[in-house]
Amino acid sequence: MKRLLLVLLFALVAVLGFGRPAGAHPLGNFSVNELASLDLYPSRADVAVTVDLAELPTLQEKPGAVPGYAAQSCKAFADAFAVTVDGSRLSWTVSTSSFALTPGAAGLSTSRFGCTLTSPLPSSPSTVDIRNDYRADRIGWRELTAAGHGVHLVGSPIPAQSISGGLTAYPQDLLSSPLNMRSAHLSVAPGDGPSSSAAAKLPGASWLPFSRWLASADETLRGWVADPHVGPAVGVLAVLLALLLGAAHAALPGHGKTVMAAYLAGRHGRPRDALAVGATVTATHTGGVLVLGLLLTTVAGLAGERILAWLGVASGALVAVLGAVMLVNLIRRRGAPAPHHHHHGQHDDHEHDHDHGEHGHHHHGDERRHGSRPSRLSLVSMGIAGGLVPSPSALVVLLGAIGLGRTGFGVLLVIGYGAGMAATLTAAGLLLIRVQDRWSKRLPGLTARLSRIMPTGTAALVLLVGLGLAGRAFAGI
Amino acid sequence: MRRLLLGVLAAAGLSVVLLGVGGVIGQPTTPRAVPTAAPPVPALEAAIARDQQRLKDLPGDYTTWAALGAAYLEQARVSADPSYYPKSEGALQRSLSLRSADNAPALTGLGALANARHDFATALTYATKALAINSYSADAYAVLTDAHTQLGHAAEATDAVQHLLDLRPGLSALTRASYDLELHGQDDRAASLMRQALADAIDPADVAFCRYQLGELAFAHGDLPGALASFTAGLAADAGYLPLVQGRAKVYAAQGQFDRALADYSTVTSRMPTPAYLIEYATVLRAAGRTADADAQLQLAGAAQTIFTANGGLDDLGGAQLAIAQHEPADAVALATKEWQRRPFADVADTLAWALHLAGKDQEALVYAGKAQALGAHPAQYLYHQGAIEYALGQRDLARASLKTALATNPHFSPVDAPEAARLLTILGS
Amino acid sequence: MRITRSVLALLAVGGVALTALGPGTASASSHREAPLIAADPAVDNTDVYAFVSPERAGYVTFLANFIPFEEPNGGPNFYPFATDATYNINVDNDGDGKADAVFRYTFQTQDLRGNNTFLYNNGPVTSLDDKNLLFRQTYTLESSFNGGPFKVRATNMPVAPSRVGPASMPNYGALRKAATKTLPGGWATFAGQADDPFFLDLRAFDVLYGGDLTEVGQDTLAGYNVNNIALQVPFKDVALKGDAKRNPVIGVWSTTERNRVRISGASAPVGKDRVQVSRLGNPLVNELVVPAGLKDAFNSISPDKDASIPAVVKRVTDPELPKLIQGIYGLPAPATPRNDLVEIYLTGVTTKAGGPIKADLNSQLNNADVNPRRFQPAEELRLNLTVPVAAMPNRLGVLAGDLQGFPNGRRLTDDVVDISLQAVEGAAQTGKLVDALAAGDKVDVNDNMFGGSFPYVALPNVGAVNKGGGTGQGAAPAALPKAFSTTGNSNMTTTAVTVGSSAVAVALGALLYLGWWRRRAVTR
Repeated sequence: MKRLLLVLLFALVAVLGFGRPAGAHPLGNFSVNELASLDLYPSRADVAVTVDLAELPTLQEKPGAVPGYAAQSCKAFADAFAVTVDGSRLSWTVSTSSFALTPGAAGLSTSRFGCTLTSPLPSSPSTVDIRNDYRADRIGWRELTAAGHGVHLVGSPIPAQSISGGLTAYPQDLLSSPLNMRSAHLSVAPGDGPSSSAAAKLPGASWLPFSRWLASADETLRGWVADPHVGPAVGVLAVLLALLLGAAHAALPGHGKTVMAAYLAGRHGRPRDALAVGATVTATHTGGVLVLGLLLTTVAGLAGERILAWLGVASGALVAVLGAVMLVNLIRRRGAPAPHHHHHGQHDDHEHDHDHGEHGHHHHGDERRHGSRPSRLSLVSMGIAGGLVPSPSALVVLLGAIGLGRTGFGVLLVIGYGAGMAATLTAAGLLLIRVQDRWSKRLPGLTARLSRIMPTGTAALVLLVGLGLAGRAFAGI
Repeated sequence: MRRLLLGVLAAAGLSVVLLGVGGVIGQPTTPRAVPTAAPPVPALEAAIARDQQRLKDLPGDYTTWAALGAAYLEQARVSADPSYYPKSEGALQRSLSLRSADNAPALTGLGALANARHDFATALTYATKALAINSYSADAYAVLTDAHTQLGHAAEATDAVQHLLDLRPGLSALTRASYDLELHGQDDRAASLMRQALADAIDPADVAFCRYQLGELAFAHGDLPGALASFTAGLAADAGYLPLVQGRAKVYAAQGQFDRALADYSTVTSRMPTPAYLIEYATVLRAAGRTADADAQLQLAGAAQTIFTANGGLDDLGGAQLAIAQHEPADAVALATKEWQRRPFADVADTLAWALHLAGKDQEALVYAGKAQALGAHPAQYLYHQGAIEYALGQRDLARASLKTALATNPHFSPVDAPEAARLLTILGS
Repeated sequence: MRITRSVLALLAVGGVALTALGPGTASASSHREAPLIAADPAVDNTDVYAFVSPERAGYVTFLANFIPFEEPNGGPNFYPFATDATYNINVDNDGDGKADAVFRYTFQTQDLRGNNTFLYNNGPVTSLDDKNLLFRQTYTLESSFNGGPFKVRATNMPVAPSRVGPASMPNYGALRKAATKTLPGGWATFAGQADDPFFLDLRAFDVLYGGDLTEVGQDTLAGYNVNNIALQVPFKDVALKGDAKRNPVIGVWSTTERNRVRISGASAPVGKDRVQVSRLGNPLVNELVVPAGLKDAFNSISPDKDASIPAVVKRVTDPELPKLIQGIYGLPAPATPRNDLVEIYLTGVTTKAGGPIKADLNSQLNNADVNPRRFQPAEELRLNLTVPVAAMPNRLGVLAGDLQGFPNGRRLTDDVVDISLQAVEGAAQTGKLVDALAAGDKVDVNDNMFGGSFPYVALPNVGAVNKGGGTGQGAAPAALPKAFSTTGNSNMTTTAVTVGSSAVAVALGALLYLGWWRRRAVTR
């Protein structure tokens, strides 16, 4: 009895220590294991297929003996692999097929064939349904992967990379059942996905804690948009968050704040002007995001980054033009000491008192105010320039919402975003004007000196900044 | 002041409107899906998923490792997917490594695994060890029952199954009790217990198992419509349970519907190309006149057996049956003899008898034919073998009686052998 | 003999060793493999409660629950009682470990679904005999006293069905009410689905597997339902000699039984005697006292046999849990033998058994008419019927001075995990709660409120319990990464910060804007 026990103990040890006999198929000798890797592009879909047959199926099929076996099997696979994009089933062309035998257990061979299938897509996909029915009657590993190029998958239920190394190294995890993924439903959105765009586009992302908070707030907002179970309370919160995000993004360098500040300072703008610029920026920005979002979702093949780059160029160009106009005006005015242009008459009535007060105030000072007040046109153009480049985070939120069928919500969020931006820009402008007023009271001497060079200086600055913006955007194309 | 108030009110009003609209539009566009009554996840799969999750959280839980190992083993049987066997073994060994003393569940699981691998002696040892730790373990008694039964220890097997019935009279006990009765020739009681087990079955696979056994019992007594009804009812419960398809194929072959039979056999052997199924497939192909295909399937069966042995499996009974099908009686005798020495089980005796008969050693064959029926079970196939042996030995009266009883018990017991039995009987009748 | 053995052994070794870790085909020959671990939840006891009815003087209530972890959306078969088993509530009033009163429930099914549907109902169900209810059960209640034959007390009583959902059962309360019956003679009885009244964090017992008590606080059973049998009988029907004043203590446990099947002895018919398949008295005995290995034994034997199994007694006198807790928390395990646990679990708290807890609370030895020589230590839930109903029940029961609480019987609100943890660490003996374990499993109340009248248990839950794991098919990860989920705690913080700062920003913006307006108004 003791000997028996000892011997059995040895057996236990042997079982534990004994390796697998060489050549036996790890998933069983009659398994047919399949991997289909789907690659989605805006205008086509590719599938890379690998099928690994164990000893017995190989023997049953006798692949070596059948000529054109690989091509036949790939055709059979293509027929059984149903991918439905936006409701219509794709028909595959087999681009390549290959086949190989490897020695297996007991002097038999295992075999493996591979295919690449391709099919064009009529438009950028938004929903994809996959169903793999090839050899459904056979046991074995069934794996699906999907990756997007130029499009990205929203909440994909299948991974982007094979966990079995392309059916070469089946994971022997004790805590997972054998993989049997035969169907999947994917949601696809245009663009390369949230993580790549936002981080790259955030200018001044060096203010680490602030930008990290911003990034996480961005993600939260996007999460709320995507979550199907979000209730009304969260909807309200989302709009508030969009407001805040807009304000925060506007606080970062960009949107021509420098330019606007310089402009307003140089032109002795008033609160009303600050308001006007703010409003224009908002309107332009919101409109720009909406238009761009609409374009990106309806027109296939439109690359968001390129458009943004071109818009950056346009914005910079507009600013440069404004600066040039300012300079030209100044030079012209310098040249001709023409009568002062008092824009009294052009101001609305309810501004009259205010103007008088200010005007009179400044008038006593000096000739600083020889420059004309910011004309409505220039204010508007300043606003347009500032709002021309849509903020990527707003764009992404809108696109995400559209992709999930919640367009109205997305638009509302963008409007909220814009309102937040407006608030910041207006506040910045107002603050600047206030500061300027105080300064001019406190330091008349300095102000007097500055005021002489101000107009030209600011005009030059505007021009330079505009050129710089345009140049940078152009370089980024 | 009024303007201020108006301004504030305007701002507030606008914000409320904005936020309100946001709240409303932010509602999900599709109503939350009402869960419809989908077919339930079988309790076994749900248990596996739960155990996997628990072990990810608490890897030291040796009880759940043992339970998971047993569940994987059950799943391997139900789904016919052999990739569960290494998982089962891994989980059970992990449980044992976490707690080596008094770990009855792990030992029981390893015993069940050994049974599945036809290593009945090891299973017996494991079950005995488990019972030494926990003498009230119904699972250990179940493993013990299976091991004793297959090893040919009839009295111990009955004793074990009675212990099992006295501990936990449920599905596992009733199905084993039914088998024990069947081995002793009490088919009516066996069927009644199997029906009781069917009433206790919850998972579709368990329902399918019970239906299959009831169908087999009906078939064994020539009740083809009853058998077909059982198999069909089983497939309605679990369409993927292969033995039911094989049972149905047998009925079709018996009824002469060879097309349907062969289609079903093809399904079965694609998914589970075991030597036993392949031999049956080949037999029916031969009966249908497709000899070349039959030979191909036998070749496949040979390959399957070779692989099984190369993987470390030990099944000389299957090897002997294959050798018989391949007309190699000497090999069959050698293998069957080895198996008999390992385990004096009724099926082994019958195979050995037939192999000896084919090898021309009819005297010895008759002895083993008698041993096969020692417990009281007289299936048609055993009687046919006995009759053929008696005929070869010239014992005409005995042969006539045996063959007559064989065909009376089940006139369709084999598409090839039943006609042969009838032929012999005609000769004898004269 | 030896040679053959070693040959056999070597063959076994050869077979086993070569089998290695590689897969093998399941059955190369026709070798029957029967199911081994078939699920059989219908006979699984989960809890027993016994307490003096708070709103009905002179009556004691027994609650017995079965079938753990019933998911509210468990269709289409839901959770019927087993029809081939009996469900029993047993009462021992003389301390010999054998039942003196047995209340037996047997169930019958009426399944009108046929083969056409697997749905429980085909329309709203507004009453227990609504024709839309396709699957229904009824029960028969029998009782036997002092070993006498069973007498039928009620038959064809309706079972409250599994709660399918609000659309199918718009007023489940009415169904519950209709299934709560009072029999002539005063007995009240109920059988049907209910909210699982047990509240605990099962992870507290991960201590047994290498965990610790840090991850607690979630009611593992929240949201789940259970099948409940409730019975309310007068004291005189269960007390020894019918006199609850002289013999106030009873021991209670529930069992499920199936008919015994005999196959050895060819002519023996299926007998009338029964096999006990499950048994439960005190809660958490299996977790705290009896380890997994003895659970099967415990389920099979009747209480009078407990003391005869040395392994069981040893687990009470020398429990594993305090040693584990000592290893983790450094709390010194109380000295063995743990005769205080013997008192709590096996004899009842009394001064008459020589145990360390000096109080006469709930042992049958304190019954005046008991023969102490026939007293048998046995695992039972012991209740003293004369302890007055506490006006303000304390969840820590006896350990907090509320003598009506566990281990003197068990009320729905008693936090048995915390009480048991304290008791296993010796709190009953010392009279002081162990501070380090004061928080226990941090689950102190049930997720649903209990009712004030029989059967007291809350209505079944109706929403799906959100559990992970899926079907184990390598299921897809959640569509949103966890950071995006709106249910995580961290996101609440972000939300709060967001809302707060937006409010501040808006306010500042408004102020700034309005400030300018004011300035303008002033300067005008």
